[in-house]
Amino acid sequence: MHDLISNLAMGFGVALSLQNIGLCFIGCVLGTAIGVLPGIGPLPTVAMLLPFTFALDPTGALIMLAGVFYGAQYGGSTTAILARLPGETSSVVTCLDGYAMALKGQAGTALAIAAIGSVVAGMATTLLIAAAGPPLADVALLFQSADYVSVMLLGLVSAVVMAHGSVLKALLMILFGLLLGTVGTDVASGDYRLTMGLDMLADGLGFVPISMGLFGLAEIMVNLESMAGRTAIAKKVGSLWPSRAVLWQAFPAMVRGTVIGAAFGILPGGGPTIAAFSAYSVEKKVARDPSRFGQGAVEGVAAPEAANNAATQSCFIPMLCLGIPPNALMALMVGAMMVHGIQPGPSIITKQPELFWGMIASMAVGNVILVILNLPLIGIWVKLLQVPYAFLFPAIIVFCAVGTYTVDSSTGDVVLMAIFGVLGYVFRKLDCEPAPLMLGLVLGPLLEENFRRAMVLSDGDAMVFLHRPISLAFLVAAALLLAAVLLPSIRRGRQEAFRE
Amino acid sequence: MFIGIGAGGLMLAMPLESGTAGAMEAGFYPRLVCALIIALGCLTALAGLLRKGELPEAWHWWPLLMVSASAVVFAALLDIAGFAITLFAVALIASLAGRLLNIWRAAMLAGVLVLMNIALFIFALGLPLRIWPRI
Amino acid sequence: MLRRHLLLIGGTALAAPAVHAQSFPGGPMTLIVAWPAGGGSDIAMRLVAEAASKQFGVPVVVDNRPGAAGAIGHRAIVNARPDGLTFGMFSTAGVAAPYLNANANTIDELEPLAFFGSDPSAIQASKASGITSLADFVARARANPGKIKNGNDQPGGASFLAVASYEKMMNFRIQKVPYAGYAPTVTALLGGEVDTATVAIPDTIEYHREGKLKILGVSSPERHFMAPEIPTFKEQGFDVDVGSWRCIAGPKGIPADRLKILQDGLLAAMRTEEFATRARTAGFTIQPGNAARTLARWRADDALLYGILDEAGLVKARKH
Repeated sequence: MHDLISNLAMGFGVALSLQNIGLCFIGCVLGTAIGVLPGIGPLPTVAMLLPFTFALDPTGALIMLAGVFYGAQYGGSTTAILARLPGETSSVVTCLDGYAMALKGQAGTALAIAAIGSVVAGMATTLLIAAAGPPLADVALLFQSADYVSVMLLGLVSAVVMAHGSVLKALLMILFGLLLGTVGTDVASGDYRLTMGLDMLADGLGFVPISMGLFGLAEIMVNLESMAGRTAIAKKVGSLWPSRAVLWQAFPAMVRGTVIGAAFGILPGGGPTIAAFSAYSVEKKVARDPSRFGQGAVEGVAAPEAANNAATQSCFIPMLCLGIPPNALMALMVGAMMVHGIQPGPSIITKQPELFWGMIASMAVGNVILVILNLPLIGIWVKLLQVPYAFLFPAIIVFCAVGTYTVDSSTGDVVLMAIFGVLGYVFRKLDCEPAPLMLGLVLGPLLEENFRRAMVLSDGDAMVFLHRPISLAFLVAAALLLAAVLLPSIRRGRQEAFRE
Repeated sequence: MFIGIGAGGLMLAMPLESGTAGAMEAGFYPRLVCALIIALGCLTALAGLLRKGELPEAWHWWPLLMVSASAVVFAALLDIAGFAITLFAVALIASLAGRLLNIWRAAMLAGVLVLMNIALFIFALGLPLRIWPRI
Repeated sequence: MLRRHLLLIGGTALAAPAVHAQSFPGGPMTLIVAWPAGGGSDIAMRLVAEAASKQFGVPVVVDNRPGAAGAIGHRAIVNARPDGLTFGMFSTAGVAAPYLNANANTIDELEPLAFFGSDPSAIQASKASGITSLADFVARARANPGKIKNGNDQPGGASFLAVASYEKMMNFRIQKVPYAGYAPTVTALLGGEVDTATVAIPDTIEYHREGKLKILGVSSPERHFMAPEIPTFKEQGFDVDVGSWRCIAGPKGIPADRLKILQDGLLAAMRTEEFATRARTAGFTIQPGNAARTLARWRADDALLYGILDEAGLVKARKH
């Protein structure tokens, strides 16, 4: 305990130096500014600003990059709420109720709840990392391929829970997503699958063009059908600040989201994504009236945003404590360290205590800066919604096209976006939700890769999923969840059948 | 109505001839997923038939066409016509999708958007895009 | 590509003390990197771009064109206007690529410019495996073919090619388990999911020093500068030199006078003291070499890797 306090004191000594506060602030500002451009999520933002940090000292460089990361993450939530444009996978969930709230004229409340949820989760997780980072990092090592398979399955099942329409359709959408996820290079054999001979598809279907199409463009197409509804929203903006009652309602959701997010964030791969989806499903299961979800339930914004942000913080745990980057973004951070001659490894804590504790303290600082930065911005964002839709939507289309193009400088991606825009419109007409599809798309490749690896490692013995305790636990959880969803709908189905 | 997706799954499954199913080769997993999609698709279709009747709401082809067209135009024009002309065309087509603005106001909006985007992406973010077509 | 301009700013600033270069550049240069921003190759090439910018007195912009295991970026180099202003990175994986992907370009479509260096491969053993030395490992692998599980990347990747080369040159057979990149491989090795791995020295040296895994040896003629305590394969009785190299290549058809200036300039840039220091700090083994040496390496590895891929049944295109 005493160690913790003195270590944190040292950390804050580093993080609160004028230079580092400045770097953190610049990082947050740049991250937010670039992150609100549609299609440009945290990964490209950090990659884009990485060379800036080569000239800084390693601690300053990492603090600034982390600031960029939080900023971009938050910027992504902003576009998800305002225009139904998720810049990265984990904000797909925020779209559901966040955008629904914006339609009801509660964009300000949704943004504020997202900001507050993020800071609550960020602070709690930062403390957790400081108190128990290294032992938690070892937990990540306990997970093997078979266990990941079970975790992914749990994540996919949670997508069924969150769908508010037909369970069958949700399952279909997940499967469709899984199928789309198989496009590209097969990790196990190096074969190209379903690429139709196009090199553009060799790395799979990008997340950005698909989400921009399915969510953003499809939304515009639907809105243009019924202009009346949309102009009405723009006029009633509503209060910017959440009332005490709303905060009271959202707080337990934030806490649950934080716990879920912190736990899943440590796991490599789909951490934040599974966290956000699971947190949403849990809220929907816990809620007394689940039908509010998808119609602008405040918990539906608070929980996934908290989970998302907790997971963003806790994915630093394996990176800082073990030197192992759990995702592409953390790999960029490791790259930034290696440029400065710091080798990734468990010795960072002992050899670079200033960097380790300074980094942790800067997470707290970054979260505070982000809130200070973003709460006043909410007013401006909401004003943006008051621009007549006739002017707004062509602007959104143009930004989507340019944003999608810039990610890989590929015009093919823009065409892909158009195709998925049409598909998204069709799905809307058929009452199919695109969110489960996105989850399938993101988790599918990870699921397959780990499944096949688990089979190789166990010499083809499928029982491995039941023999490993971690895997078994997640499988049981997934089965229970699935049963909880299916039973009522089957019963209902029977009743309907009887009635006929 | 879901036979469409079921058939889509089937169609997508067609090129999966590569890879042998048994020994966990590349084709195994996609085929598995496709089979599930087709099964569930049929089930949904069946359920739809049983319930019968409820046609989906009317489709509006104009916005669908124009919005997707604007994105395709972006892709087609960018390498030939440069950033400015492309964006102008995209914005114009996009505004037509709404049929809310007359042509002059749409052109004005497109002009403003082009300037905004040039300022943002080319000057502020410094993307190496050509503003004007190469002559 | 978003990052091009940022380096442009850096490049312009650095270009201030412009020196020599017999009047060829006349415009900013572009260095195409077929791998994503922030990765090892990207960092290596940013250092090259910086050094080259000083050498030629013009900005050298890094253009990331990742995708299809390098095939997209390599095509961009092949198709670039041969005015000498656009060139790019080429590496071991690029030599193997045309046999795995019919769309990938071959070494015959590229002009060698200069050699950057070769990062030696190494074998690491997990703590749980109980493997004590390279000789122990080889003995176990030969006694139980296909039983030892080795973590590596996907077929055609640098780590896969390294372990496949070892199998062929040292006459043993193990089970190759594919992971997506070095990070999950190291995680699996630390957690004991695999017995051994073939990852680079900089990614694992700290774990070795902490006793979390054991680096059995490094397959280069000399010991690695960051890990002087790790013996080479040769010292342990296996005369094997395997590594994954990087070089600079351009499109075919650059006029001879420009080609000469470009080749000499790149080599001179990579031979500066400042470049050497920065590259070593970031963990790169640099061995600047001229175009002839680069071409020789391409040819040698083309023959070697084709043989390895062919034996593994992985040649899917351009079968001899």
